[in-house]
Amino acid sequence: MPDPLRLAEFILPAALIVTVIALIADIVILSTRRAPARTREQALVGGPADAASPAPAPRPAKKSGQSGGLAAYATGFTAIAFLLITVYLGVRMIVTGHGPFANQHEFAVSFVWGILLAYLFVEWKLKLRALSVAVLPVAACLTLYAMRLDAGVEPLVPALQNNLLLTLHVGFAILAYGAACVSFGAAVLYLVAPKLRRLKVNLERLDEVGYKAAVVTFPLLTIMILLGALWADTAWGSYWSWDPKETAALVTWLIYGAFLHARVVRGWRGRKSAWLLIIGFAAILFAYFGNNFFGGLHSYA
Amino acid sequence: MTVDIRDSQDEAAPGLAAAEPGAGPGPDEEPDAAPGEFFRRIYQFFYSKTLGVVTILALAVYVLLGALLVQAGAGVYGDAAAEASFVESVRAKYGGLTGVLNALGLFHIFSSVGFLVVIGVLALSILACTTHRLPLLWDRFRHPKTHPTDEFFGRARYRAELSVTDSPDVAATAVADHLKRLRYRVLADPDDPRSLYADKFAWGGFGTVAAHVSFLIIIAAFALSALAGVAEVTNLPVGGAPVAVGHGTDLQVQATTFQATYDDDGRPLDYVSHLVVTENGAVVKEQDVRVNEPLSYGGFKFHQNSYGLAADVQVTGPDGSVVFDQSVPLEYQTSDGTAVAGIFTLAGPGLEVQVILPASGSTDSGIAAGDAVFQLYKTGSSEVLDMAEVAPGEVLDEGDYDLTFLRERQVTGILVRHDPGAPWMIVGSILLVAGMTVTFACRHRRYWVRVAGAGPAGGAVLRLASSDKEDGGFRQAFEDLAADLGRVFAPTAEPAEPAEPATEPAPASKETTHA
Ligand code: HEM
Repeated sequence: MPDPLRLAEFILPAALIVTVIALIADIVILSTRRAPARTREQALVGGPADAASPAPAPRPAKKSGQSGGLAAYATGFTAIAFLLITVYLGVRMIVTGHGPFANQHEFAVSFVWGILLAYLFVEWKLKLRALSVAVLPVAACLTLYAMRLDAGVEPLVPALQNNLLLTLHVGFAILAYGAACVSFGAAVLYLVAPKLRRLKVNLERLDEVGYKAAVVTFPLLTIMILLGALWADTAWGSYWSWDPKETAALVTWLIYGAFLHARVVRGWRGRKSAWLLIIGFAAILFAYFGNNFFGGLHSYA
Repeated sequence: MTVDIRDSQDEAAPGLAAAEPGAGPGPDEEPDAAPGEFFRRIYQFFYSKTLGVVTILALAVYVLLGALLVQAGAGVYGDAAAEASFVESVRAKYGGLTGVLNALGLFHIFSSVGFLVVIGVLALSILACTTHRLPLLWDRFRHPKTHPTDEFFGRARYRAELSVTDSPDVAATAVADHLKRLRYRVLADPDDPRSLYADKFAWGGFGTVAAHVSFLIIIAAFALSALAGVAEVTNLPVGGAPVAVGHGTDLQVQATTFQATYDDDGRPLDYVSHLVVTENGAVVKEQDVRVNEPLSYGGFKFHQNSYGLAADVQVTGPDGSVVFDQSVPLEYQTSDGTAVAGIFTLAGPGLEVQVILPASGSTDSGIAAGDAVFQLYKTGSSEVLDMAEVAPGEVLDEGDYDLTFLRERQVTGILVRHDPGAPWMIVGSILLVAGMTVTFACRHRRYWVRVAGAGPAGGAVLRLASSDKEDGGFRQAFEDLAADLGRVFAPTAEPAEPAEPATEPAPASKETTHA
């Protein structure tokens, strides 16, 4: 293994440790903060599980006052984990000369990258720290999983060589999966938070973030699948072959599509729509881990 | 200023109720005997939103089963013997369920009747939803309702009130000017000079139309590919004679060279065939074809698919004439992997001939390197008639027929493809992405403003309302606009800060304060 890669081997454990520290800091912040001020998160804690009825949710104040110091650390550590993963992927891309999609290891690390990116974006834009409790564990588990996989550099099979479409296909997959993980996190918290007295979150905002993340996920998944089809059209001579991996991706797409329609045209929200988001993310994990047991044409990624 | 946002689901835009679905007679009503009624009912069934969501979920379940259950290869169903042997082969895995799964078509899901029915229902549902929605979208685009009832301003999902010291007329003009500056389309209310309607992205709704139509195009593309497409792998002998493409064309394709490169561990790095396409004998295109670089000509595409070996064999008949002269692709492998074989038949003597060569690099096949083994059967029987190892150029004398093994030759497997659905797939894809982008990035935002005198003290009360769905950032946009208007009237507006609901002066808000 080339030397830079050996060096890079230390980055993943470091990223894992930093992620776990960030998670712990977030848990401390969330479990010690007092009931949210009325103007921030109004009367929703432990409130009715059905989001159709809750009171208006004024926007949170731009700066969260409580636990200010620790919050900066929690966010900072998450950002450091993200940077470490970025460096790791960067080094690998330079050494291998291709995008991080040659094997399950590279793709797992990319998945973590997408999740952290999506989470940091949401935290920055919406200040919804509670999300970390559900999202960071997923990132940490995937990092651990990636570390256990063979990280060796192998030559690309001809179908994967220097292909812009494929790089874009994988790039969109990573972004879509990251956004999906955020909507999954929001959905899990939506269902679990009312049962956890110490976790004080605004359910209505979770519902909204879950939807917004799904609105980002769906077009990204669409583009990912279409780019995949376009690439297969050239490389395999058929834009669609019902290969198990693309079939699983289609399942995922349909679930997110059903979620959007259930919500937009049937007015589903709250618990029902949260469950659809969880099923959607389960489908993503199925599509992702699937080739461990269904091995089709996609057996390399 | 007071911003009040309701979360009720029941709010339709003012005056739009009649255009919303559900306006027709309910299920309890006496059916109309008119012949149109029957079709109207069917139409109603298909544009039902519940049907849409249920169909999408049903399709998801179907597709999931397709990913989980073993699927038979192409052509297995349709060939009774192949089907039976396939079903036997999966019996070990699915046991007693095998028969049921097979009867439900779940081993060839994507060509099963059930799947096609679900797709058909989805297509009709999309079609009905879209045509049903189109007039409404058009109306919102061309003829938006500009005069809501006073009540609407007290009930709308989003609403704000602003007291200003300007006179109502001045305030109304200032709001209109400000909204125009923000690039809203501002329409005056013909019934009330102090009311106005403003919107942005009125065409945004057509994004969903594009997204839905695009999916119909994609379904049509699949159908076209399946029904009118050609996809067959042809094994071209490298350096051999041109092979006719067929399918009503005068095209021929020939592989002049083939090269495969491997890494130290024997994994393929690249394989490339040089193809020459001729039409009526004239070369029309030639190119190196590799996995990601097919050759396209005249609606056909030639993809690098596989590669292997072939044996050039010549057979002469009783009168000495050549009855067979071909490269026989060695498509089969012995179970121990040491040898590869190809099969051809000779109709005249009713013979099936197997040509067997050592697999490339294998030394323990029992066949000398460079040699071939002919193994002959009577067609339809499994009894070996004759068997002999021959060197290149050597003749096996089989009664009236002479079989000559000429040489071993490389073959390259080329997928010859004509796919009339593929361009439509691309059109559908582009439309789908464009439609979605417009849907999500350009949401139609509508606002109604009404200005009233504030009473004997002078000044005016400005009421702003909107009724769109909660999702998609409407709430934020509404609050931002309300705050923005507050700043327009900043020196005079009061109160400048959002008021606690209890202290609101607005009578309208009182009736709708949250429970
Ligand atoms: C699988 C194919 C389909 C695709 C790709 C698709 C796509 C979309 C998209 C992207 C939206 C916008 C969602 C949002 O605003 O959050 C939407 C909305 C909608 N869809 Fe579909 N859809 C499909 C099937 C259907 C079916 C079968 C129906 C019939 C019930 C339907 C009816 C609607 C309606 C009524 C809306 C709301 C439109 C609006 O708010 O302006 N869709 N669809």
